[in-house]
Amino acid sequence: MRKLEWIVINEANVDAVIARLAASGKPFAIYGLSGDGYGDLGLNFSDIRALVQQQQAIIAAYEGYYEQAEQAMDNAVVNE
Amino acid sequence: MGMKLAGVMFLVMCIMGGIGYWYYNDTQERMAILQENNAKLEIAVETNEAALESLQTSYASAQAENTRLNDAYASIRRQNQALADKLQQIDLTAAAIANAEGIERAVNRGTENAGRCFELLSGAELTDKERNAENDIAFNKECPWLYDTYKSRGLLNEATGN
Repeated sequence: MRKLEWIVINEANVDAVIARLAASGKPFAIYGLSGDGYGDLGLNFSDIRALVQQQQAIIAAYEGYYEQAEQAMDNAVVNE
Repeated sequence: MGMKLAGVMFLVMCIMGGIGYWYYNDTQERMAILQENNAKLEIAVETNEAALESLQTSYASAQAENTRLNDAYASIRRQNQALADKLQQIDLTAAAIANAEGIERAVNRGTENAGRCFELLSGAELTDKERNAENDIAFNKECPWLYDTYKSRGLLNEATGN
């Protein structure tokens, strides 16, 4: 995944951060999130991850089921 | 008169013999058909038994998979709840005011780890650091449960783990 960098700004360090960013020579603009907003973003990612895991669990279950069902069918044909 | 009677008797005997012969042949044919039907029925019964057994096995395996799936779902819900529980204990705003640099490092590390979790879930190769991780936290703080998964699959180095 692409590396991204969070910058935490509070009242005490805001000037220093702005100065640091200005010194880097890049145009100054920041997309901000509050503490709660950052927490919600983390929870959203966690939900997406859980969804991916659930989908993987479903795929694994289907795989297991079909393998066993196929085995049962093969056994039935042999017995026949 | 005697010859006439003998002739009639002979005729009757011939008719009776013919009827007997016809009856014998007809019975044999019927018996053959019945035997054939019986064999077909036996095959049908065997096929039904095999199908029933196959269905029972399928049903059992479907139930087993369903149980496994429910367990996996419960586990995933617990893992998903872990972050919510952690965030409830932390006031992110207060933490950012108190220690902006420390929180910055933590959220950047956390973001990197969370991204790595997605990569691992998508089938990414393990790095040497992950392969040699000594425990689940060292493996990845954001998805430590993956450590046990990889360990059970024998993908971690033998010397590691506790």
